[in-house]
Amino acid sequence: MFAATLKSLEEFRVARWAKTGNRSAQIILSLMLVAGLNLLAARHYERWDLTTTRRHSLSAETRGYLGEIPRAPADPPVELILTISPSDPNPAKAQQNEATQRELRGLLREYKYAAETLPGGPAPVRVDEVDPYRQLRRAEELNLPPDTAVSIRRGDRIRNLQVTDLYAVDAEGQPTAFYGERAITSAILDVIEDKKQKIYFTTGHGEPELRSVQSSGMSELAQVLRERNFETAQIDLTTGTDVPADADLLVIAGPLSQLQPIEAEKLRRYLNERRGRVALFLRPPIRTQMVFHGLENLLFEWGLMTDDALVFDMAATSADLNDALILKNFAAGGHPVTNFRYPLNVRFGFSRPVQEDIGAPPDARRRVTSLVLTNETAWGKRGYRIGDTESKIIPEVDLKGPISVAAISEFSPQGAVGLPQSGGKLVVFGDATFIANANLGLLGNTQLLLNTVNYLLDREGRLNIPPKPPFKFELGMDRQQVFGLVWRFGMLPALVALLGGVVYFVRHR
Amino acid sequence: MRHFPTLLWHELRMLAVSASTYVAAVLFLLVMGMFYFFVLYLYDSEPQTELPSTLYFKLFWMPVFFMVPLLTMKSIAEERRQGTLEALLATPASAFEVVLAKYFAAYLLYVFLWVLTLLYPLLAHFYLPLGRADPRLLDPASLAGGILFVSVSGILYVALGIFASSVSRSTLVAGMLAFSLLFVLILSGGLLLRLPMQDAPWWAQATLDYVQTFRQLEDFARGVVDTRPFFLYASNTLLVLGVTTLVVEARSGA
Repeated sequence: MFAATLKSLEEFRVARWAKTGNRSAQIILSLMLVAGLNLLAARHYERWDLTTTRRHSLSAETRGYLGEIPRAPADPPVELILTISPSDPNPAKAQQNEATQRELRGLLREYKYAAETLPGGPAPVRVDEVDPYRQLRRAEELNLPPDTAVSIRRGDRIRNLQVTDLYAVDAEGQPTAFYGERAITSAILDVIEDKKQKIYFTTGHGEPELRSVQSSGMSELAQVLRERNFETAQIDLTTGTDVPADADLLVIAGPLSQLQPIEAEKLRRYLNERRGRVALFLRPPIRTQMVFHGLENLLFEWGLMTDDALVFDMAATSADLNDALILKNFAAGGHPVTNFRYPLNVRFGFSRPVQEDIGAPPDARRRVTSLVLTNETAWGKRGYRIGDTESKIIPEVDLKGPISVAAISEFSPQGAVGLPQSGGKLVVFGDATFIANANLGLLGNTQLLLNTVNYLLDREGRLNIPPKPPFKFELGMDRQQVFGLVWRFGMLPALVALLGGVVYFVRHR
Repeated sequence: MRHFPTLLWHELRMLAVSASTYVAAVLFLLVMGMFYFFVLYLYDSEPQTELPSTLYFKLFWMPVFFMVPLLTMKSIAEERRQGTLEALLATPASAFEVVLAKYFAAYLLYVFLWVLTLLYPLLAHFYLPLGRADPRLLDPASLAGGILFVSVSGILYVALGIFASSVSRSTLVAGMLAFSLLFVLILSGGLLLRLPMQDAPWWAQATLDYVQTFRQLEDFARGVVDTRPFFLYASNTLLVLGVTTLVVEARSGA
């Protein structure tokens, strides 16, 4: 009997173990099934934008460009790294950053989804978030400039977008448009392009060095251009070298001596025959050897003129303590070079006038636009030289304000057949110091320079992605409306309580 | 599953006649009414960069912490305490049908109460002159996305509440356990993402991002519907309900 009891106990124990084992196996297998299902769901998913304006969807243009991301196994992926942080020590900035972060996070999720669901197969796009205040080491590895909102990278190509690249603001500092999608797509195009656009800087006439870190140097300018994936190089046109075939833009930055006729001819051919792009930054004619720059004939052909005059403006709102010009007037009717997303002034040093030459041969294909103008209080003192004591305006002789100190001449691509002049762009600034290290970071100088470069290289118009209006919602309630809301909102739980009371009463009657 | 409709009808009737249901409903509606009022008050103080309904649904986790335990803590624990569970399981109805009936009853009530809260934006829209003038107070995408999210996430939250109720005889313990499970599920992902996990492997970050409730809510509350949370919550709900059934069977000696 004892043996029978023992045997049944063992059978019971075995049955219990078997049951426990069975249940455990069920749970483990179920867990594996759930994990597998979710892994599949994480890779194959859909997203739908229910909003009537499709506010959260990417444009067809962006999706098209995402399809151009190289997908060979050896190609590095495009990384979109959200770096704006609501942990900023400044509370006002932290609040603004939080709203921007929210907007950008949603936008980057759409980029990831679009990249993963392209018709031709997924594009290698990674989205990541790095908080520079909490993830210090990772932020240091990324080497982020201050106020970077999004960093777009592919291999060694980097484009960092600041908040100012994403929003247009009005005079009160309120955002008026959100350019997030356009900025990010443009940045993606920059980092996936095979070839960097190349900007050549002339030398041989005392121009500042690109590598010079002195206040008059252009190392800051070179850095700004490198950050935007431009390649820079220097070239001496005084030798037998012609403008290189890979020159996308030629910059003549503040020559101290006159350019030679052979150089002017090279520039003429580059502009006319190759639809070249030239940016000329001139010195003021304060010394005799700086009066003529050697390109007078070329400018005449392009409908521009630079007077032998120095611009003065003594009004308190038009000059700073160093007599530099604070310029607020830009192209009438707007021009991409001076269409800033937020109200900006620019700061020029001593400048010479640059304006349309109405005596130039008329050409219907040519369009000349004054880009930057002084106030009406300014005047252009003709023949002023350093050391002259008289700078007051002589009304019959000197130029009266407003005076144009920067202008652009452009030829329409639809040129007449057989004529060499078509498609080039020539922009002339009457001051060269505003792009020097000491001044580039002041006011809107950097933005003016970047707009100029982008426009000359046709980067401005390559995307047709409209900005989105910034979202803002507010209510205005008076005290009566507040009380009205309170009792109206209280009605619903009161009705449910009443119903509960009725049910309770009926049940217990 | 032929006993399921009968069991479900019974559970719904019990909920409808139970005083605690109405207490929970009144508390929930009071809290949500207060939330929506304060959201509108915030918009009265200064302009905001989100829709009122988006901000409103971002607060969903607060009532969930007390609502789900209130609705579910008695479902199985009370029956076990009173000794009626064994009798119920002795009927032809399977343990799974019993669990499913209690689950669906609680879930339907949960969703019904959330849908009732849509009356608040409706009341504000018709009562406030500015609400009538600006249709964004009743933005359909945001409201639909928000309700969809609470419905989808609620299937798992209620399942966890039922599970918590199945492992204890005490309704209080069941309620506390449900609260703890919900806390871990809803908030821990977000808290972990805030840690400076600089050396965390990529799959840990990706997993956290996938399960992180507030990231999912951000999308839905803006009006963007993503299929991933559907799979996440549905698959885990089935798992939890399956485990609950095993627990009920084991504790009943089945």
